[in-house]
Amino acid sequence: MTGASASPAAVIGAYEHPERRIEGSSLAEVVAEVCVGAMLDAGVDPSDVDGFFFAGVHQGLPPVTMADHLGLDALRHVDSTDVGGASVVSQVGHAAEAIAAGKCSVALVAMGGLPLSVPSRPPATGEAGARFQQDLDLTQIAGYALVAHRHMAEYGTTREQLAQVKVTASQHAQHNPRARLPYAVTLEQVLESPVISDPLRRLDCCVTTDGGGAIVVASREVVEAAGRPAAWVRGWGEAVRTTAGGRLDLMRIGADRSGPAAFAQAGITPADVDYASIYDSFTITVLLALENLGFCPPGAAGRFVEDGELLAPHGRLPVNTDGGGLCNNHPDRRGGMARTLEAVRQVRGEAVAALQVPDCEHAVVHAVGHSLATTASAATLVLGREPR
Amino acid sequence: MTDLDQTTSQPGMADPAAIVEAARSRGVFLVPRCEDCGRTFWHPRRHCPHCLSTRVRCVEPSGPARVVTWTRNHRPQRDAGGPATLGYVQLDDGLRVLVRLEIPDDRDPVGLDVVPEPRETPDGGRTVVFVAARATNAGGR
Repeated sequence: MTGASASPAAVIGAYEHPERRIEGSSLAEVVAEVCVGAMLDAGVDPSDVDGFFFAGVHQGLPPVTMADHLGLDALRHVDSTDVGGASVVSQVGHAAEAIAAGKCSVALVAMGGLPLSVPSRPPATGEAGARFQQDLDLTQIAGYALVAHRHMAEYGTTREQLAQVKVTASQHAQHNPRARLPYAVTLEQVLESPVISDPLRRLDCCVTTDGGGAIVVASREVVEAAGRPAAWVRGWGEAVRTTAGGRLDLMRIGADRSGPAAFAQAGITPADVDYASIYDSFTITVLLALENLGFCPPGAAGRFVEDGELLAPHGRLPVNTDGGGLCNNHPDRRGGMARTLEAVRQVRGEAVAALQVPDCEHAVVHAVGHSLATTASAATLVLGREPR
Repeated sequence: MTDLDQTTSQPGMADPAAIVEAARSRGVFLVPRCEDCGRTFWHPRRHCPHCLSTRVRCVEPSGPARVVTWTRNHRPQRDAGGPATLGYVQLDDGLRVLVRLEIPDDRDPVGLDVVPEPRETPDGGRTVVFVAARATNAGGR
């Protein structure tokens, strides 16, 4: 699928689980709840769904089992792509591609998780490169701290600039009553929060939440028949940034490849983007994504954030108007779904009124998986109000 | 670089990953190097990720490495009796390896020359840490 697609696809159904801590529900029921919500929003039912995109294997809930629970009897296309936190963003791209190829016409993309009641993940396998990280205490936060220190050394980025990413997210989150942390914080509060792994402090880190979300991507014929507001999938790209045999550049995160691919397919440039959902597992994740995607030159993202450019509705590039993973939602420790859902709201004009970007024609979603310190996945999606 | 007698290209010979781990448990830092293209790589594996050769030898790097980035993890997963410091170090040939660091906490160590040094582990074994080059006899290598 290159350039203008002859068979475009659009998001016509979207649903975010309203809770951030869930008790007394199984994982399958959480996923079912969000799938029902998205199908109702799209005006489709299980007999219409012929594509299912779900990476539940890591949770012991394979897509075939989940399809049975949902009663998806018409499936002719299944995709269990798991690239960590970026999985859903890759899957929406894959869904659009499958629709363009005629492999399905109504694709259901779903995820969920209960990390607060199932606190620990299965132990890492220690295979391949991970075998040589096991004795280092390379926690997820420590890995991103390594990247943050490198950004500071290479570009002079300051602690204050990192902290401003969180402050901005919190200013948006105060408008979202569903947010895990629905209040504004000050720069001082971020800088005085406890150090987790230098230079990252507690408030540089995203929340951990139960919940999830689901999306219905459909063909043009289905979109037109449904009559629902649509967010067209205009372009997408994905990449894996490996350790390059020990020659990795920590300042390139895969977005430098997935971003240009997505923009080229959409026929736009970063300057045309009205809103961006940027994966914010940590404050540093946002700075590197902004630079790698071309929203500002390498090393300039700290200043960009400090200048208030991420603030909605009138910053140059409003980012994460739901409060992002830093304040709103990061279910199953994977932010791809929650970030995509807010981009869909912006394009459909359904964001909270105070933060709705006026005339939002193009939105970008960028997500990251695994660790920017070692091996990372990247996925970028361009959504548009019009098919082309 | 100092070659050790550890050819890995013959059938039945040890996995470079096992050789590197065994050396580390003696307090010695080795990296795999391709016998065909001459390049080092990380992590250890049976094939060279640059040229796909399977003629891999584990060697001891000469000269200090330089700290690329670091962090002091105040919430280490294992009970290390306090914060754990780790970082990427870069060897002369550009190879970057993630290692445990023992460095002064009164300065930014990015750019600091460091060398491997053996350390006792709590269970009585040995491992490798990287320390400031000037603080050790090995710094003169």
